[in-house]
Amino acid sequence: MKRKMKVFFNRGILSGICFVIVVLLIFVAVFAPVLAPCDPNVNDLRNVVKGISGEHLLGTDYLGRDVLSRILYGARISLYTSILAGALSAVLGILLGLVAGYFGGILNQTIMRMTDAILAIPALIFTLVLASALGGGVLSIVISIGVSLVPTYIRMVNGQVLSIKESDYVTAGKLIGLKNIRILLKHLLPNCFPSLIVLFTMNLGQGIMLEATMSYLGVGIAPPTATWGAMVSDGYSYLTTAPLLSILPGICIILVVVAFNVVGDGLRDALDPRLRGKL
Amino acid sequence: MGKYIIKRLAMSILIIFLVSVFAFSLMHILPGDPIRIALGESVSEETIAEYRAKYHLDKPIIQQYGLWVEGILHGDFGKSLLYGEDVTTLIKTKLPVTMAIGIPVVLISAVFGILFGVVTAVKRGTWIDQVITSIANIGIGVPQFWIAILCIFLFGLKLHVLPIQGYTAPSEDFGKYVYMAFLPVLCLSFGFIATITRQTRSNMLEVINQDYVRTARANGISEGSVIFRHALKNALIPVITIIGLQVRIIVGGSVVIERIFNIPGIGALLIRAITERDYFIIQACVLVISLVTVGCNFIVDLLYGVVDPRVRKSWR
Repeated sequence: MKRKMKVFFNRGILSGICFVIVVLLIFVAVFAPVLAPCDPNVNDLRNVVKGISGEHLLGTDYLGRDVLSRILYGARISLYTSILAGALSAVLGILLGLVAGYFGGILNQTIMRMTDAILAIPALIFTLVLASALGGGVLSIVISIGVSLVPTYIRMVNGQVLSIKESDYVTAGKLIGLKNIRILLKHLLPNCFPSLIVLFTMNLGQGIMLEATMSYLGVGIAPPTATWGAMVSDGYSYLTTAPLLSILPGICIILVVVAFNVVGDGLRDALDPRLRGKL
Repeated sequence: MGKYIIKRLAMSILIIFLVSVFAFSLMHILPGDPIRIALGESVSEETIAEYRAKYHLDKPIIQQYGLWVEGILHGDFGKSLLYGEDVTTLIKTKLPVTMAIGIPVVLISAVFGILFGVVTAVKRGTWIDQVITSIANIGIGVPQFWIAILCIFLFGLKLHVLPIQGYTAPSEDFGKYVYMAFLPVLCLSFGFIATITRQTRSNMLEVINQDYVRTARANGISEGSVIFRHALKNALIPVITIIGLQVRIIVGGSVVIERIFNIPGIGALLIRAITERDYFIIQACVLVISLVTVGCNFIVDLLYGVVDPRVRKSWR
């Protein structure tokens, strides 16, 4: 463990910074109600699009809402949707990947071709279309982002299971009469853990990006809930007078997505350097 | 080789079939009547029944699917639910617009991505490498809509050098097309150049340390020839995969870019259809977009054979 942490933090200052950003994001998301100076959804129409001031540290938006508070609450939505979507896709993907890889044959073909079909549709379009069919709202966003991320897990788990299911210890397990489910969960799954953790971390960034883009396009979480994507979109009309309204939430998205990617890279090197170039 | 191509083609058709089932079932996922959702609650029962008959929604689901596919095979995607527009005509006018933005993006990203990747690998550890690699690392995390807004702010509103919205077809006025499409293409390319740079760099680094490269150098071959003729050729294979996969993301990204720059392409059409719940347009767009991506992947698979003789050998 100590050695792994050393590998992670020895990758340079960037890994350290990104790790801090991720920790900060979680902290902000959890404690948003305590940290936010104002209620993010209270309009103050006498103070619309005001610049930086003592009362509103990052100014106010077109309805006079406090931008800082909305950014803090936006972190909450981003993290919440991407963790739920990530968990959903991980559970589904691991299950389908294990089954496809272990049982092979027609089951494998069916699952893998469905995966190809999902991958044939661009992720953003898939989530947009599915979310609109499911009727909008946080839950449908989570489900659609989750389903669009499933193929990455299926492919990875399937590949790993295919390569280790011929190992002697799996054959031995079968010979002493272990049930399939026990071999799957106790012997094959743990071998996939390092890559799963890495993939999950990277998918969190991907999920945040998808959620932000959907909110930006107005197909995501409904207003007045504060989301970073919607904030960029709302601020667009005031680009000449108050460019920060659009630019600040965008910077938050970049920082968080890059941080998850870099932390994912670091985890990969620390947990299993052989995955380099594969994930 | 013929056998391999036929096998890949069959696989592509199977995938398109699965996508068509998905696109078709979208309308039936939710309980409730798509006609009622699209037309609103105030419409009379007779109008709804009339619409249901017109769009074959009164028939069993399997038959509906059959009719839809039959129409598509005859080049007929049906009619828009809201405006009665012919969906085939819509697609025919919108797809070339998306292509006119997407194709330059693929070409520019491939050229600059590979170039930056080679430079950073060759100059590993120098400041050039560090600057480009850092920008590439950030480039992957930058949302397309945000980079677009930043470019509009900088080039359109501050410097007043480029238009911030609109589109002219290249067949109409090529000079104006380049002028209008410059920003959208730049914004879409940014992330892809970053991805391709990273991939090329890591492949080049792997290849550059191999024995045959050392031997080539020992034989006195010029450095340029070593890098481009010997190393890059082998590093390019995974890069081609990435470029093939990027096509999918570029088509997806067109949704965002077309909306911001007000470009009348297929992405903008899809967003309009989604907000208006015009399912027939959504179905057609999803199917056409996946046709494009599956087609590109098919071409990429064939390209492997051209680039890599080992792959060609395995086809036999």
